[in-house]
Amino acid sequence: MLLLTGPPGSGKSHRVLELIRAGLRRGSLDFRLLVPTATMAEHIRNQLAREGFALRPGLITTLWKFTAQWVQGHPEVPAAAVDLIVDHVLATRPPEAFAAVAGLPGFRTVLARLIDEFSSAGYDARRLARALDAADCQTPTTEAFCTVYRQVEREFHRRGWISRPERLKIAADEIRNRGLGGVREVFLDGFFTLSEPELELIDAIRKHVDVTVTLPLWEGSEVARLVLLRKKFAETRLDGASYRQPKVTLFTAHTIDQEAEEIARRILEQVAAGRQFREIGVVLRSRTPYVPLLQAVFQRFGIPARFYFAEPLDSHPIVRYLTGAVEAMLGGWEHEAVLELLKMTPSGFGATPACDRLEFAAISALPGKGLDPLRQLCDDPRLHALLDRLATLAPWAGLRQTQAEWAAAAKTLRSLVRTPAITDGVSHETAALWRSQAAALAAFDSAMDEAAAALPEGVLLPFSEFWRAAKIVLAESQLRVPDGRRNVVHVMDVYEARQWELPVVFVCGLLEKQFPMYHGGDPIFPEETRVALNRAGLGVKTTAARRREEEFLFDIAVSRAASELVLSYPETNAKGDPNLPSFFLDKSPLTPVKARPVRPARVPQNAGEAPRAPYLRDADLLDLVRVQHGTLRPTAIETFLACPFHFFLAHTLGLEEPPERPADRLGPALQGSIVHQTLAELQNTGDSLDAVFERVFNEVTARERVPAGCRTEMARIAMWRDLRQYLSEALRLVGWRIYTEQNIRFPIDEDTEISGRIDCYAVSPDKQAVVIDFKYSGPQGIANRIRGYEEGLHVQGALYLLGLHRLHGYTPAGWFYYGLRGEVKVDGWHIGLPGFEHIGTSCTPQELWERLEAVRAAAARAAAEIRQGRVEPNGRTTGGCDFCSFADVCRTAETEAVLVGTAAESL
Amino acid sequence: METVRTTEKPAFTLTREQLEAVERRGQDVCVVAGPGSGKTRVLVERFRRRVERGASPLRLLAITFTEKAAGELKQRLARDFAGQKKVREQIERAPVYTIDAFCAHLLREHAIEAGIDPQFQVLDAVEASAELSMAAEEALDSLLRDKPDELRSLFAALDLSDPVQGLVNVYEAMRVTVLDVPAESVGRNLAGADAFPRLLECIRGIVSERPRDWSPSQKLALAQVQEWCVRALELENRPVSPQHFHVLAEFDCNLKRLRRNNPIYEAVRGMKQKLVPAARQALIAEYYAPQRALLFEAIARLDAAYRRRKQELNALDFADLEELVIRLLRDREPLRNRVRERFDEILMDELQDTNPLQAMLVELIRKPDAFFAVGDINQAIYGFRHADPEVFRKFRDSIAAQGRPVDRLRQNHRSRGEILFAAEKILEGGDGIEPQELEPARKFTPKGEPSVEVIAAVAETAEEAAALEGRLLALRIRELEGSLLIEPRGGKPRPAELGDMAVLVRNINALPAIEEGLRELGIPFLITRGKHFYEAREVTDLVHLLRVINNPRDEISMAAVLRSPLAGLQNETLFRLKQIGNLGAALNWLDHVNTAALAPGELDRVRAFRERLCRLRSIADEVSPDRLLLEAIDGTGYESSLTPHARANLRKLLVRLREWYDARPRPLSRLVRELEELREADPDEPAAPPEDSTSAVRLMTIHSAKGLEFPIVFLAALHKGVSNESPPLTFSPAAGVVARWLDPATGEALKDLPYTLFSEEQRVRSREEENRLLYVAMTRAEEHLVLSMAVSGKSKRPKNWAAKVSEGLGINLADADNVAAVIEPSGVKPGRAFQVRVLCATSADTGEIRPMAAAPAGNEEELSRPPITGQQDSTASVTSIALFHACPRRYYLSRYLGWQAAPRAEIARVRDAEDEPLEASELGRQVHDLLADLPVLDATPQARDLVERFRASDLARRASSASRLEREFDFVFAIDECVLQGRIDLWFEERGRLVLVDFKTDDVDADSAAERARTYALQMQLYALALERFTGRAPSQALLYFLRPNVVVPVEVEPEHLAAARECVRDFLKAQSEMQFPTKPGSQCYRCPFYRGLCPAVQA
Ligand code: SF4
Repeated sequence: MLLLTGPPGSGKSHRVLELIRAGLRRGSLDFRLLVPTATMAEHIRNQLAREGFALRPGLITTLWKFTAQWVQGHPEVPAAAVDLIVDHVLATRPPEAFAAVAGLPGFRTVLARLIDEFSSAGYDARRLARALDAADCQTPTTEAFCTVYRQVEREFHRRGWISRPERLKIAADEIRNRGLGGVREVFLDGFFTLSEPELELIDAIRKHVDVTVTLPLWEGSEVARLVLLRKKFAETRLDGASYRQPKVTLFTAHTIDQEAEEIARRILEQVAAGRQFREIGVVLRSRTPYVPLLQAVFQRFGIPARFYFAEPLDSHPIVRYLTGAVEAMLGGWEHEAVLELLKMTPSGFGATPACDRLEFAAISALPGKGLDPLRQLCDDPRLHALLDRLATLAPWAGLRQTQAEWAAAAKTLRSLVRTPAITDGVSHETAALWRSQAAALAAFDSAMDEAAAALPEGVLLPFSEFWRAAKIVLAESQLRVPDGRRNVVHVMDVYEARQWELPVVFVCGLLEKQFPMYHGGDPIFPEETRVALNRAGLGVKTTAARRREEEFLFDIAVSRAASELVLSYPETNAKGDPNLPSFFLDKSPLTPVKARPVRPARVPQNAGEAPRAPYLRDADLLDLVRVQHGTLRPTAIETFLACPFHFFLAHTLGLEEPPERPADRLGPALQGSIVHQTLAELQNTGDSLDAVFERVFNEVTARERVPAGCRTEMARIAMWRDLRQYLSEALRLVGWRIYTEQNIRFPIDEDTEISGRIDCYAVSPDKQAVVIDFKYSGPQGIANRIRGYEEGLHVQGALYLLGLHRLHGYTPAGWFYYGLRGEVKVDGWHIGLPGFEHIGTSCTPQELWERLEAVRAAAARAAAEIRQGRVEPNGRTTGGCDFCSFADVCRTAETEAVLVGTAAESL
Repeated sequence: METVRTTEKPAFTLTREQLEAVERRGQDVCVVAGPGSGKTRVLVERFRRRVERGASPLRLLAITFTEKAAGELKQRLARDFAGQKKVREQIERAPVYTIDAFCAHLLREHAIEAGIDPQFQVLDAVEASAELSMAAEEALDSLLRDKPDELRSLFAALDLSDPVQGLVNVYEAMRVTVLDVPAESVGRNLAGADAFPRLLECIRGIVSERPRDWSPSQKLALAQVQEWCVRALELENRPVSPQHFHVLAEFDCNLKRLRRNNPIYEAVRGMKQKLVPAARQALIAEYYAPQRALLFEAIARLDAAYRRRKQELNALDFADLEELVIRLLRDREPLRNRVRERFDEILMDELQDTNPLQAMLVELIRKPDAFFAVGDINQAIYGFRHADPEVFRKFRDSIAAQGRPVDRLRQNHRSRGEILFAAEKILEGGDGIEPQELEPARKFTPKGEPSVEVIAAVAETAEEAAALEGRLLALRIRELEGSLLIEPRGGKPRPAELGDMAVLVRNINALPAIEEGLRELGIPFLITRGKHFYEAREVTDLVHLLRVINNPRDEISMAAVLRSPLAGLQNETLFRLKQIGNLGAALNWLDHVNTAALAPGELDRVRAFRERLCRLRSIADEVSPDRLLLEAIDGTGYESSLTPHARANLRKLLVRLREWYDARPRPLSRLVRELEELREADPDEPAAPPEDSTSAVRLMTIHSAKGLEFPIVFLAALHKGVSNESPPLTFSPAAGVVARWLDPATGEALKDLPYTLFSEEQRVRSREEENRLLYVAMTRAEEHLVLSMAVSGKSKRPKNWAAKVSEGLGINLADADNVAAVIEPSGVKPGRAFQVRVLCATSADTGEIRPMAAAPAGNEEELSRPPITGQQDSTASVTSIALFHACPRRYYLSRYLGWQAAPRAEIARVRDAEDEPLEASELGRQVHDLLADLPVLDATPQARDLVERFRASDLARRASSASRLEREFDFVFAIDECVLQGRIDLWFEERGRLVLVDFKTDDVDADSAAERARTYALQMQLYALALERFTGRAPSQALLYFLRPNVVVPVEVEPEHLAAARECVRDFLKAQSEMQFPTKPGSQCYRCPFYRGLCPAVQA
């Protein structure tokens, strides 16, 4: 009986493999090498096979698999079952102490993790309760926990499931009684430590055959080591120093992504020097934050890598899609939810033009429910087929079936997924994507079976009950996408890394809280209780023990490299604040070097900043412009005067904004049209404001599908208040005839015709005319209008006045703007009209004419420039950018300044 | 207990006053620490010394203001105890937290008692504010449903355009200042609540007055008042109605028309100036009492909705953390005692910046005489976040009241004395500033010119003056750069660089003029601005790209992308595309575009963009959004078009997207919507921090400069104040909920009485805080301070801080055009004299205008993609290789990718399947298990029958008499680099020769068995190779036993066949590495589950 001990990286596994190789060379197949994980077993088998040995797979296997032959007929608790059963117990019989938190999903997880922790250490509920009593630290919370734990155990037994320690115990008994057949020697390697049940099993094995165990030297393995020594294992200590002495480098990068890029740079440097990708590894303490980052960076720099990480099953797009379908069905097919579903790539419909059209049509029609209305919005057969398939789920909500029937039904959901158009000759990344889809579908099916297995058999359940369990399983399941590529960089966590020895190893993210990782407080077994339990002989983890475990994991991580070890950390966090480097780095201080900035080699440029020509030059297009803009609206001319590029996008191209979502529909434009319409109807019908406004508001909001709600209500009240205010303060031109909402069309020179609609104008008995333009804007808006005239940017009212003169021969007497929002603000120009003495600018008829002519000339010039194809962005000088929706298209905004530091909160 | 010693002496010596604070024991310690007095040093040192003397770091709770400070504190301590493993480990775990982190930690431990999910997440400020707004809307919507008329009347009563935001304001203020959302507080005894009765009383006093000695016109004026008085008296004892407001609004009296200096006049004047307005205010609260009650109901509903939303997200906001911990500790004495007992001392930094709830919390956790707090009232500048300096004041005074010493750190180790004296002089006697003389303690070489300067830019209009100030400031920066000698700590004197300078402003709106000035002179700068990250062009480009990937019909986004360097198209091209219809849809209809007319290269660009878009759309939900964007960025070389700063922003966006997606993967359509909402919300999202800031001037707000110091500080735009306008609806603990209502008669906005109280409170607070802000800003400067302002208008009267500074320093700007002088302010205390260089200019000679230097080009190394080889799988099963050999495509679909075939019903349509009693694979399993003597509980008769056929055969007899026999022999071995796995049904040794057997349950007859056997030949040959590796000999015979027809078919395993099999493995690996899996149409297609499904083969 041999116990090989030594610090991580001292060559224990190496020594065991040497013994095994020697045996294989002798042709002996009567040994077993037992390791903790399947990937480790596979890894060793492959390594030996590549060295030329022929093996039986069972020779090198996991402890779990090794025990399988002795525990037939005793199924082990399935992976997600603890969560499911805990959920069941909490839902049906929550102990008093947990009443407030029983329904909270995180609490369920905490309980399940604790049960896992105690159970895999070999402490069942009864033993735990005894230890708590003995340690005198039983509290209502721990008592409640023991109750739940006992109930969970009871549920397991009812289903015939055994826990892992029970399994080991049964196997140990069997081996003790029956021996190990033809096996002559057993090795156990790769375990960080050994639990009580594992030690018991070793004891049973050692009764029959020779056993060699390796154990790393650290506090966590001390108890196991002492037990083995008591069992007469002879200890041989290996000295870490003599085994490997890689070159060690520490680098720092400004940010985490630059750290990842530096790793990529160094990998490429290694590869350029002749190293294979497969000789390089990256060791992480945990999946986040590095896995998604390294995936992105490696893909960017063309580095093939295998990530030895499972992803949460419920975050896979296929699973999100299928769950989304069920949730949409349970939610009564809310259009928002269905649309999101249809848009997803697994639907096979998401990236089609038909779906693009449907999306906008459906958004315009939101809110909505049910599948049929969506059918009406789009006649694409693919959509109809998809909706038909979705419709088959609808009856589920009202059915009761057995758990097995529900699982079978749920497994048909895969028919909603459109199989990708698979071809060969694609990149390995694309193939990996298809692999992951296939794996996700398979995992989804298994999850449904697993959920069914945990539910009472043969009882008729509503779907919701099955789905609740299914969601728990999906949330607790992990998806491992197979990736067996040979020549790839290995990215793994430190647990996986224990079996690896690679020439070059990167260990990144060496920051406090990342490595070492900090463990949050335990709401049931706080530190004091854990310490007390340890004193009472129950080996549970305390904070100090976890801290030492972290250090041990660090030692493992940094001892994986044979020739080069590269350590790194980012200097700043996402806020730009300095990070706190891992205190582990102080163990052997290194002078850090700086990461070098890199980027992927430039591809042949097929894009780039487009030239910004101030005029369109293409003759065909200029012809088109001339035709299109022979007639112009005054507002369009104003747009041009404010910014020719804005005009180009809005009027020449006519770019459309995406449809408004319900909450945004009652925007300034719609409010303006309600106000205008109300004023026109007030004028035309003579009804009261209340009646007209109510009618118009209801009509318009119903037509535009504005949702009822507090915002709509507030806007309604504000509009009504403003209108009332206007009516009470309106200045009247006594004896003048009022016309509202009149269309008008007239030329301003031989090339340009103006067309438009006048809000309101008044004509005196002696045929003088005044144009009134209502704006649903505040005083500032009106001031801007007036200033716009002075600056030659606004033309509307004046042009209309001119039009009235041209068409009807009226004498221009003035034009006014009425701003109605918040307060009534009137401004404009007039020939000193009675009652308007204090309003706007009063001038002589001659001056008014001159103004009108200036406006006409400006409009004509603008029209000429439009026809010449002027498209230059100009809003920054005219102030036209303030409410422009094209700011991101014109690219004129100042973006040079760098923004740094923290928020300027007070400003 | 371990004896502890520090491994190195601290790198500094403590002054006497610092040492006293560090060493003070047996009482609560309050350290009043002026700017630059080394307060963090004192805190660290106290911690360190306590540990040195045996305290466990785990029993010292240190509370810092920011996470950054917590990190720095730990790092310093860790360095000090580097050599002592145990203490060092404890320092790593030591409770050094921000107050929020402390609460979160405690709550996770006591989640059950607190009734919260132990795995709660903490919402960041942006997320919390979005949830809160939605909750407010939800609350008001529900009120509208339940009480439509009442809510309408509330909306109509309030002078408020955005009730949702109004409600949010009230709620937010409540959450950090009081523990419980208060119930309606009508009836509060506010001064002025009796204004209406007092008015009536006054009215009664004058209504019947008939003064004799008044002139007729005066009498007439009084009669008019009295007439009003009669109407007002009619309101007495009537419930408040609009009539009251009409009457009050009608009060009108020209006091000039009354006779002066008599009681009647005084009474009417009092009415006009005080009583009538006060009565309106008093009555408005009463009049709108029902609406006010509804407001409280809305707040309660908001509270409930917000809590529910957070529960659904399993999240808490920052205020929750504090609130829950306070409740927990307040309501559970044993727990409170346990927490108190856990710490020997609590050390707290920046106590002056705590809010009332935080103060409550600290009170709950600290035990007597074990609290050490550092702070400085004069540096309290977070009142707008409801921090209350009173907390610090009370603590300090309580210590003094006990006759115990308060420690004061007066020595300033940062600034030149002149700077301190100037700050002291300017703010002397200022509200909110406690007199405190700072002693300059840092040694500087005396310099010939003043260390304090004032620059005043004088112009006609405010805009001109501001622009001039920007220019003058830039000029001065250029002058000081390279000429002013500065003395860095621990370094040799050297000429100042741009990186030594910071421009601080109070109001962000002052920045554009300054930026412009710097730009004109080509001075690089970095600007601190808390907003607009989502407006940066590189960010908008990429967000639009995501929108286009989601839906190319979004024309504005499409146009933005097409014109960006991601596609780089010209206006004409957009025009031509748009001729087809929707801009996005047009990409699919390029045939209809007159492509010949496009500018050179445009068509290629359009096509390249279209292809890229297609590809990105096809994987939109499969990969994270950052990877989608990276593909586009790298494919177009977009990054190379950016400045280093823009690249930093781009990276920040990518990191942000990656984190969001990783934390909660969501469909792209939802992500783009969330991004849009975020952009609209314009959250405080600073742009990416630059890597290298040594060669640029920093522009920042004073708040973001807190805790920092710079050799040269420009405190600019002193003339610019900030708007102190109070929101129409808000809350303060003293005034309760306050609102601006609409006068029912006139529609005018009318503040209620609590609002008046609130306004007064606000006024005092902001006056005090603005002084402290100025103090903090000035004391950031180490060696040189430039105060600059713009002055305009005829009177040239400086405004805001500019006035305070001019007055404090005795500078008269009224007649100081174009003056440059050095003055010595008078009235300073003895020994605290200083000089000021004053420049008052009406123009700036910037010389030749230098354009802004082009941003330094990126110095990134370009990395080419490496050649990729060896992408084949490292392991394979024998059956996979056989399957590949039979049809590469079938292998690819089923084994390589793992796709399940179409449901069997589909396949049934394309082949004539006979009814099989048992699925073929299940039959095969049963037969193999039975032959291996494994127990098969559910074995079918058919399976048993087939097994019996073999058992009765010749071959079985041969096997049973073999010298060695292996069944179900699984193996692993390698051919080249590929590890092969498989399982041989049976092999035995017969007279020294090896025989290999494989059982087949294929549904074939005797005649076709031989042909079927050919498809299994490779498999058998690979088995033979495996056997050879195990035994050192190749088998002599390899036999396929077809059980159904009961025939044995031999397979050739001669060396040349085995060599060919090896070759097949190599082909297999090559195909994997190159991803070539051609179809192999043939009769086997009819048995293939992928036929007419995933497989495109048609000729079969
Ligand atoms: S943002 Fe300004 S410059 Fe750009 S298109 Fe709009 S108005 Fe023109």
